[in-house]
Amino acid sequence: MGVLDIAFLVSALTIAAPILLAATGELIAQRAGVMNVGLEGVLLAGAFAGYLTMTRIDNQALGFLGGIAGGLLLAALMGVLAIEVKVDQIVAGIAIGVLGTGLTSFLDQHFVPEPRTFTPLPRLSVPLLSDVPVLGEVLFHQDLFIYVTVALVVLAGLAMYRTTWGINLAATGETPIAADAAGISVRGVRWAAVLIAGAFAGAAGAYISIGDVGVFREAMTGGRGYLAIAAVLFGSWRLRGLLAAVTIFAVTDAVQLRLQSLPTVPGEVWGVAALLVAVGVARSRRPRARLIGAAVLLGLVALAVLRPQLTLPASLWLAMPYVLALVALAAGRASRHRAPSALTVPYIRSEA
Amino acid sequence: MTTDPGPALQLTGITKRFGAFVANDRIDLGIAWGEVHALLGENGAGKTTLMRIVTGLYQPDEGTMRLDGEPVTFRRPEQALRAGIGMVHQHFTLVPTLTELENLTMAPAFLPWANGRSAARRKAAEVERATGLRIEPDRLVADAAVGERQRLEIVKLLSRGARLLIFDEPSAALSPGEWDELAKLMRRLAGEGHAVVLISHKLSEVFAVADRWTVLRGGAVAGTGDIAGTTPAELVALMVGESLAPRRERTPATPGGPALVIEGLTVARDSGATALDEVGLEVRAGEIVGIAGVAGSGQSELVEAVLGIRPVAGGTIEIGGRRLERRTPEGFYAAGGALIPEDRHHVAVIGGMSLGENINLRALRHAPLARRGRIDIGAARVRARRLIEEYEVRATGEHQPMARLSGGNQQKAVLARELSTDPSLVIAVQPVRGLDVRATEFVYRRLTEHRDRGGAVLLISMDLDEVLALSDRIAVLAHGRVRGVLDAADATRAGIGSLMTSSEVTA
Repeated sequence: MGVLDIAFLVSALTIAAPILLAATGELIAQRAGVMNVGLEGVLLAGAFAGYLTMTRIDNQALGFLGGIAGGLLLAALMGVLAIEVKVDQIVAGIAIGVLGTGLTSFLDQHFVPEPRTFTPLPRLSVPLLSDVPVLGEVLFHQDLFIYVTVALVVLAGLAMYRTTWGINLAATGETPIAADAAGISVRGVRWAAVLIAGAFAGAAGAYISIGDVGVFREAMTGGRGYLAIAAVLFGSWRLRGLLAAVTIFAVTDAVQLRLQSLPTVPGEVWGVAALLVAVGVARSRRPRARLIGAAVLLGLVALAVLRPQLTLPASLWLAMPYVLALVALAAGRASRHRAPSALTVPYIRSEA
Repeated sequence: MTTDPGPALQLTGITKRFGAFVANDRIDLGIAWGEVHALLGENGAGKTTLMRIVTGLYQPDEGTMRLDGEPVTFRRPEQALRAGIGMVHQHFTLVPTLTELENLTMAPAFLPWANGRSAARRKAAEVERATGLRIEPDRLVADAAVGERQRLEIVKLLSRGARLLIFDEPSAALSPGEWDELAKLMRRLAGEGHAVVLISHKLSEVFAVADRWTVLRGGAVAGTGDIAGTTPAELVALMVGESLAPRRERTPATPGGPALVIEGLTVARDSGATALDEVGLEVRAGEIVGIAGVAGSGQSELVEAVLGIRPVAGGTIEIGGRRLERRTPEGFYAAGGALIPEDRHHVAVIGGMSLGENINLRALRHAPLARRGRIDIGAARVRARRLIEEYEVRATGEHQPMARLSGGNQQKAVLARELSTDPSLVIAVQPVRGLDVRATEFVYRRLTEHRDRGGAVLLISMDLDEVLALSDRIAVLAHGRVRGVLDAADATRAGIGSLMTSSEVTA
């Protein structure tokens, strides 16, 4: 099957899970009006705190709790800055991001001078379902974190769209004065949302370090925090859109991982790229964009048919998900108006 | 409730200070169940502060509040709401991206996992049975008209058990028809034993619905009494503290050449529907032409088309005899246009910039303020100070942030900015919205003076009294068409009203 086999799909899911969890948390926070652009730092804090816990007490459950605590710590700092002190959220977020990166690598050198490796989370098979060919292997033979992530995302969806709390959350991010007038504590809702986001990101970070590979390295989250934020924007601040965005990012990441190790570019890649461009062309309404798209499409089809022995540098593949995120954000420009109106705007009652 | 309306809310000696400024000075106020109580006063008289105390947004420094005889203190708005006191704010407290039902559901969640939608639906049905107020539960608030939003706001309060309702300038955003409906509703609520407080500048509204009145002036109670035993003149005198000179006798207009000529203007709404259909209009130099019409008849599209921020499907616009070819706001101003926008906060002023900067905003590109591409700061300061004095803007100085000024003074600054460029055409949209008697009088006087100097004014207002009082000619706009142009001397309320509501649309 070449590039796209079962192992590939499993790796895509493993890549998707932490991004999805962190992005879901960030979605909740942004729907309340708090954007943490330093999510990358929160992920790293979770990754390191989980790892640190493991070096002291070799227990994975406690390791994840440690990761959650690390995420909560940085999220609480964000909450103090954004909700209490009411500083500019972008500036505060950048500070959190830099702090998370710097602090974790410093503490790593200080507290764990000898790097250690732990066993990753074991894979659990769901009885019966895991015997289904392909699907069973991909979906029902995974580690516990992935199952819990799915459950948490479902719960988050129910909370956002099926409860009074979800309405309050949307109101707080959209028109905080209206929430306040209805007796809802804007501060309380925002704090809850920010802390949920911190706990989710902390757990996701712990999975990246101790859950998936069992080690910690400096800046090992590799921009997944930024991908999660991009997924929230690209998904137009809705859970369904976010799922689609995370899927695209994760599949691209899995593809690039696989392609890095291959000597030449396999022909399937051109085929898939051609398919994506074709979808884009079909959905575009601007004639000029369609013309350019058609030209690109023709080139890709030619490549897919000819299958030249091309080699591309690994760093180019590495950049693929991020390039895609940029393209997605630029294309999603029109959906910007769906952002919560009070996103990044501190709530000050007397001015209302 | 009972036939004998007992005391609902009794305020005694309420005092509220902000630093050295006394916003409320030993206010005594009694509101009874079953009455509509009008609270009157100029901007800054302390009405808003007092109502914020009653609804728990502020805590009084001195004084007591009794509800049904029981002393109460509200530390947060939800406590006042739970006690049955609710306020319909001037700026609605609704979430536009949620449905009407979801806006009702929004409430402090005692059980985070509960879904209050069905309970809210039941309550809305109860309110409808009791008052006849109908909402559309599944419509987005963003899609609802202003009157419908206000209705939702009222339903929201009633469904939370509010018995004392405070309306802050409720007619500011309503069309005359919507106001009539609201007035009826207020009477009905009072009839059912609710207490209604109406904050208003408009005496005609107060005399139409209120039972009793209280006038605040300078933070203190200037008087209180029954509507039946008073006259509008008496209340105005109490509000301003001195009798204002009667409105100056209007000199007849001496119209000159055409300043604004619109022919066959066709404009689409955002939704694609027709907003203006072959509209023709002429405003000559030295006259004020008023446009009467219910809200949403195409007024804002007309302004936006002339200003050049909305594409037109057909027709021509001429200012000062020159046709505007590439319509842009820059072209509009260069042709001698000026605009007093409807939305003061978002369009007319920049709150974060100083008063002086706001006043000079339109004069920066030309001499004497611009000198070889740089701004002459000294000249700008002198000009700002002169205009602040000339237009009686009350402020601590030209450096005061615009957002700190009261609404009336902001509007004076806007007038100073727009009229000081000697425009040939001024478009004024709802120019006295939310202003008190004195500021209103000022705006009217300035617009009339501009006319007397030979300027043209296009006045757009939802307030028929204003259009009648100020205009030399009146064009009636309904469903995107000009239904008639009348001389102000021959115009009557009834005549305009029937044109305003006339419709060729049978649906």
